[in-house]
Amino acid sequence: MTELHITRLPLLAQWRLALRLLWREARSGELTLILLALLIAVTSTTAIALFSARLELSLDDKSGAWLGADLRIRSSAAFTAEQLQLATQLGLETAQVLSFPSVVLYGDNMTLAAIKAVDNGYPMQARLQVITAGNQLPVLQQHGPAAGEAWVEPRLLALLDAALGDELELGDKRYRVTGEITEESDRGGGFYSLSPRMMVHWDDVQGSALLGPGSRLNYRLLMQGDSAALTQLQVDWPLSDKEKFETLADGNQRMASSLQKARQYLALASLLAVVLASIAVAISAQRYARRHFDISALMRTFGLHRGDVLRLYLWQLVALGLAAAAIGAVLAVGLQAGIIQLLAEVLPPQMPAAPPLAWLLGLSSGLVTLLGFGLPHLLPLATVSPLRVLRRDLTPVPLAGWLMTGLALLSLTLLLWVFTRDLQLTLLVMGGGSVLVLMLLGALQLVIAGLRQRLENTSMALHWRFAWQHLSRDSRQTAGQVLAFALTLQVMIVIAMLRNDLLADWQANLPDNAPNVFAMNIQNADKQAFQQALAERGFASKTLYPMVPGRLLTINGNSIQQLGLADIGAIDRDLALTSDTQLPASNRIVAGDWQAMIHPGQLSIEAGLAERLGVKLDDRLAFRAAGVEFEATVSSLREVDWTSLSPNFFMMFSSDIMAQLPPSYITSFNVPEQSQSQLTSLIREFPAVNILDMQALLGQLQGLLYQVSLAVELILVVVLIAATLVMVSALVASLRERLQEGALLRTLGASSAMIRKAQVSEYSLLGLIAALLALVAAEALCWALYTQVLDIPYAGLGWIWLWLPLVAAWLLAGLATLLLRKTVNVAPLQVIRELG
Amino acid sequence: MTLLNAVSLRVEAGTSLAIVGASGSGKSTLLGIMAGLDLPSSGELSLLGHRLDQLDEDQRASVRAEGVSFVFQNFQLLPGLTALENVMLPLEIRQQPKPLPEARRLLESVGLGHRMSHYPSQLSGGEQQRVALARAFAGQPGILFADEPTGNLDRATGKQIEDLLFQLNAEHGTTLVLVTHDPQLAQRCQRQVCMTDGQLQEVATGASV
Repeated sequence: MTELHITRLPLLAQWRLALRLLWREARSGELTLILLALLIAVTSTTAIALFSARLELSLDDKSGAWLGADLRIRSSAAFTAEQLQLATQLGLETAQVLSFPSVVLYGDNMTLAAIKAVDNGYPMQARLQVITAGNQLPVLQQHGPAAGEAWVEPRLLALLDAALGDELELGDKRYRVTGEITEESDRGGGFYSLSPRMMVHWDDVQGSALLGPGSRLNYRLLMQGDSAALTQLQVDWPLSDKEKFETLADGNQRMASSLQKARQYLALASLLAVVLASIAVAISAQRYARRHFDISALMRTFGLHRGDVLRLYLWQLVALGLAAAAIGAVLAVGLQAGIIQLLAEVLPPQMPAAPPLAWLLGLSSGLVTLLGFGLPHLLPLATVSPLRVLRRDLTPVPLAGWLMTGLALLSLTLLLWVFTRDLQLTLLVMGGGSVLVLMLLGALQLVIAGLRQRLENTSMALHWRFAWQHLSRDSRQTAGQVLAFALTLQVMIVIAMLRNDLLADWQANLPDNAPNVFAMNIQNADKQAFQQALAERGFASKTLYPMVPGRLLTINGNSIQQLGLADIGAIDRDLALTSDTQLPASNRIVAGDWQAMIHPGQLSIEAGLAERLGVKLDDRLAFRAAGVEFEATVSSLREVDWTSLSPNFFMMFSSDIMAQLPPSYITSFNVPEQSQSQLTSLIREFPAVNILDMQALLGQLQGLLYQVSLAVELILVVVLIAATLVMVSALVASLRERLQEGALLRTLGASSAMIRKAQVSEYSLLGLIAALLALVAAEALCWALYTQVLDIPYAGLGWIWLWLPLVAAWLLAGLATLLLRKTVNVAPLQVIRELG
Repeated sequence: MTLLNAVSLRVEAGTSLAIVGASGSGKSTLLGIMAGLDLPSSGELSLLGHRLDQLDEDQRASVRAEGVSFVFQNFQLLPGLTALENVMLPLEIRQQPKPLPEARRLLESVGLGHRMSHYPSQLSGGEQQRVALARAFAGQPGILFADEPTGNLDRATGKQIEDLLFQLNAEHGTTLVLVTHDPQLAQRCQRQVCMTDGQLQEVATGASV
């Protein structure tokens, strides 16, 4: 006997051979689909990982930059000289900032702006970058604007159609714009607020009528110094209920959490892309494996060991994953730049670069997808018997179905967890999602099976019968394809509907003469003149409500702190208190009697707030407003339509209570579109009155929503590509079978036209069903969202019902015609010879 | 089920043997067992000096790597690789030096020097089988197993492939075992055995050695 020399491929040779095989196959187009599917997975997850990491780094910025100081006190009233002295005596440096909303004018143009008046101590630790006249690039500032000057966000100039050097009007003063603000790190953490910023000098607004008692003023005292002094100040400071300490620990929580939510939604949307891409990977890998049974057997006849065969495929898989990671990384940078660009105004400026971990997380998604969805199909390749070269019927045993599903679910759960960093949400989505998908799949399969039975003996045109046979034969695959498309389409429809309707419908549904402008802070002395001015301009005004800011102190003698109610949103700050003999039109009494208001000491409270506070009829509530403490008895509960653009109040008192308080007045009125110039003249005539143009505000809100929905749609485009890829993979996977069938049919005398017609029928039917399913689901979801959550009238999807099914059918039929053209173009003999 | 019964066959190095028989008589099963692609349920089996029945699958693969090659009825070319790459593959797997010039030389020797970068789907059946022949002779195999090498080809093309096979076999001094139901092809082998119901029978041949 000859001694057997065991030949094994060394690692380097394995790699070289694997790469060579990979390259040859990639060139022949064998790997295109898998690579595309991987690219989708890598690109979407990496983009979201980068975006999330950058967003989080911005939110986690623990430097004093966003507070602007070591310690900050917020107050709704000006700080007294004694208070300021307390800080300086402790050796602390101080700066004062006052912010409030107000209308800014330029010629006939006007817009609502977020005014910020800063003293000479500002910006302290805040980063303030401004482009000043003659400069191209922003410069870090050590001071605020000089008296008589204003620095503004570029957005404000755009809204007013003004430019650097122009003079803007605010209250009764004019300000020359000398700088454009590009970064203001202490602006609520440096993030978006609806109205653009206008920054002026502290001295310019002091004593201005803009600061009347009805204005929403926000004073902040910024302090820095040694920590002992800061601690001492917090002990010594007599904190009133108007004031609050702001430290690095709290601050921007709410904004941070809403951005976190947005990030999670984007992550979920991108995960939808990953799921679909994974399915495409699985389908393509299955096809790849099937096409490589022969090659594996052949390589075994060349003398390659089982382990070496497996390793050859593993290395190819790894190399494929790495290639997808490399290309995906480049695409992801572009995609996340697109998201950031679309969300520019909502996001912090100059977000820090993403850390390596984020890259790693995103890029590894390709490998996770490959291992979870690709590898299970490739493992059997190592067990192909070499005897297959002689006996084609010897196919390897695939992995058990539960193992494949388990691996896939495990890798998806892993990805989802990494991206949402929320185990509960992950389990909920995975659990709920799997159940939902399985149920829908099951239901669709049942429908197909039912139809198959029913249609069995029905006569129909030959091409329809072929189309239907294809669809009904593998009902699971058909159901999966329909579901993938329907889900994607549904999400896109809902997002598009929301974007278009949310505000447009609201505005459109307002009666023509509904109030669209609010006027606040009308002083008692100006009341008559203001009403007259409105009448002169033909602005239909509603009632002028007296208004005093005040605080709820006790309920039936128990302080709200004792009752544990102090943190409830509406009462942790000043409430707008009012009185009127008439029940406002947008209000409805749900308990008690409005007529009781003719008696002294009566209170009508908004029903929702009453419920949250646990307040019932006849309870006694004590308030403090303008230094006066008073008590009133609840005699009615009101339901308020907050969407009506007229002044709405939580608390309305009988007139005897308001008589002891110094109110300013508030009203709303309608300004027709063509009378904008008369509105600007009104603002000029009453500089102390705060005018809030709801139309402009709605416009700003719409702009914000538009941006956010565009960013989501950008991700959805990726999702749609993934869904298309699933369809293409399935089509290509069925190509061999269809080629055989087509050849056979043609040898039996079927024309190419008939076969093509059958294919077009099949795929247009698929598109039609997916679109209809998506429409039904979107209609239901939109209806629920509109009527139950958003409380706006729902008019239905309308025209989409007409064109979407047609477009979907046409698109899929086109795709099928393109991909399956070989089945009618290639000569039957050639097909039979090639495929056997 | 017993497919092969009391089969005893010995093939001397450098000779050619044809296994003939009707469809389903077990010819291909015998070929697979002789090549070590499958094992008999009992009995002894030696190939190139190795007791295959005592080796496991990976050890048998090493025997194949040492000097066994195949030609198949359905060519078994890899559709994703060009003609040249198909011929290179066994050389690369067996880590033989300079696979590229060797593969070129082999393709030229089968008359396909001008079709090297074509994919199998771009080649005719005869051309595909010529690529398969070039691949089979790559790396100087000690023994070549051919399973109906002309079964998928028309008569004229089949004749060309047949000539080429015997010509290369003579040039390389390879042992040839082929399965066929074509009596003319079988005639060209030095020895013929006939397979009937799992039994082997020596056929007297008229062909000269």
